[in-house]
Amino acid sequence: MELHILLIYILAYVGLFTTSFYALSMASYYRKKDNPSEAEDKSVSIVIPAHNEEKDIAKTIKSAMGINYPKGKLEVIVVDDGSTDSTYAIAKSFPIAVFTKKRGGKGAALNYGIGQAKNEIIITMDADTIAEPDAVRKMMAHFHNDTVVSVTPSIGVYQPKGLLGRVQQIEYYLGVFMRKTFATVNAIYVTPGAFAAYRKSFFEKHGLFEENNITEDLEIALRIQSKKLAIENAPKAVVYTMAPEKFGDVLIQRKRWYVGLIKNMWNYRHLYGFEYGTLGKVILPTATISVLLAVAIMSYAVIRSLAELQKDIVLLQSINFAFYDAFEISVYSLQSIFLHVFSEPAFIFSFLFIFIIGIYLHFSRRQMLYKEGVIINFALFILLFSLLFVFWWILSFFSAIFSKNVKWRNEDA
Amino acid sequence: MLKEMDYTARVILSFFIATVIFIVIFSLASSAVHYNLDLTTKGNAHITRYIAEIGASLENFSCEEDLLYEASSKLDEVGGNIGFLETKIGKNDPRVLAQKKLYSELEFRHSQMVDNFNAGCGTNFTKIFFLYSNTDGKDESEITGYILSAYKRVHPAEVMVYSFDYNLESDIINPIKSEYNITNVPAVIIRGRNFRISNINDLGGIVQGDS
Repeated sequence: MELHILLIYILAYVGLFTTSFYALSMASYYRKKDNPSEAEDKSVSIVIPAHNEEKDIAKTIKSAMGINYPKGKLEVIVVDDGSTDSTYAIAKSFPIAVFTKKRGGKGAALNYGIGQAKNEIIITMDADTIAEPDAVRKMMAHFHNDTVVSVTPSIGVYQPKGLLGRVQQIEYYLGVFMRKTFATVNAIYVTPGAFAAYRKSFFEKHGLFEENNITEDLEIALRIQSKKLAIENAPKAVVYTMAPEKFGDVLIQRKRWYVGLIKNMWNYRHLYGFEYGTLGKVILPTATISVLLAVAIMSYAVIRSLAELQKDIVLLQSINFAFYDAFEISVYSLQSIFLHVFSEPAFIFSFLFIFIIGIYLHFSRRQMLYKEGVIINFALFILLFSLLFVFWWILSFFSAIFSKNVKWRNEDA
Repeated sequence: MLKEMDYTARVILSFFIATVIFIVIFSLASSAVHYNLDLTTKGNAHITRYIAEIGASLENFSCEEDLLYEASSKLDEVGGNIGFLETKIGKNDPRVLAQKKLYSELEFRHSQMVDNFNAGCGTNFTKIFFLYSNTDGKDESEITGYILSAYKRVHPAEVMVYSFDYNLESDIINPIKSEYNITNVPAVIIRGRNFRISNINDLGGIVQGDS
């Protein structure tokens, strides 16, 4: 058996195991646990760090102010992180607390905001995020459990446009399912920067966000896990983020995420193993193996496809690039295609996993009450995501290994 | 403790489910391959019947040309199936080898029927023997096979193509190799002459009698 085929089968087996494990965990969670719905007893401070966000900041502030929560228990704080555009002026035009400081990065801006916050729960909110009015109430219900120090919502892409926006919409939906599944076994290892709630007491006891960390949201989640505290998920609490749509912008974001993931996972490598429950025993090892295998297999597939393409060009050249009814449909040709596909386990696994991803998607859309069709976006996701994923990962591996500087976004030189 | 037991049970059950699905998928794939082997066996039997019918037709001077086309088309299908089986089960699998030898024999018998048709029914099919290899000269064989298939698709009433594996030990193929003095492949034999073809235009010229 060729090595790449063996790797595909290993990846498929890991995928089947994790899928079964997720399904069983989800089933036992819904069977055993009381699922809290809403609460409004905690006081909440929403901290919005902003650097040159004049395009979206007004929408985000309006969304934060429109959150359905008792007025005396909710404050909105904007921290302008040395913007050179009109972000600060726009924020100042709203009746909220607005601070400005010298540029120090997102982590520093968040820490500044947390220092100003008066309430017991801190929600960090990106300046390009829109929250549903009931999102905070739904998240607060989980803080009744004293071991829970952070709660994450469901995050979707706000009005996805373009090819990459559509692909990311589906990716975010899958994230909704994964986050809920991980929460059932207390294995969430990223509290999304777009919107996440924390007990202020955690920051007071265990420190604030790491200011030099390019994925401070990942680091804080790993820190919570390393303290053996809990991160919950409220799937019906829905927020939307404005995902980048230009290829270069998405690439910069992904490089930051993936390099941050590699570096933080290395720093918190002690989480792998038997001491940290399901996170260390199942979730982190299977996620790591899956990424490594997927990158190896897809890289090989791309190289091989290019070699095959070269061969196909030679073949087509031999018949002067005329197909001569080569794609004529007949019973035999259909039967032949069917048999070729179903005699190859890798193809059957692919169909099975597309089906499983479809189920994840269905779960997420139901949780988020999303009614618009996503079939085209789903098809684009199936066609493109694995290629993009591998491309982003390969660049990120190189950046991490050779310690290349990773930009926060395009304007950061 | 209860929670830990739950976790262990979940892990064991997950391994069990994954293993069962894994085995089911491999069984499905294996069934598809065996179904194809079955189709090949049936296809060869079908061709045998066609050839008998063509023989009877010629004896009765009824010249049923459609039978010739149907048999040719079936030969193409079975040839495709055998290629598929070679990649799935292996070139040296006895079941594949048996079907391949039978197939080569049927091809040769069909080619003889074409000779008889041309002689007795006024048809003018150009008979092409194509000797290929899946080992040495594989890439070139693939190109030649591609050209021949494309040409046949456009000119079904003009040519009959018979593909033989140069490396197959067969009572049909060995005499062809000796008769046309073939020592390397790919080889395309048209009207008793051995050609090398690299483009569909070359083939067109040879078939039309320009070369």
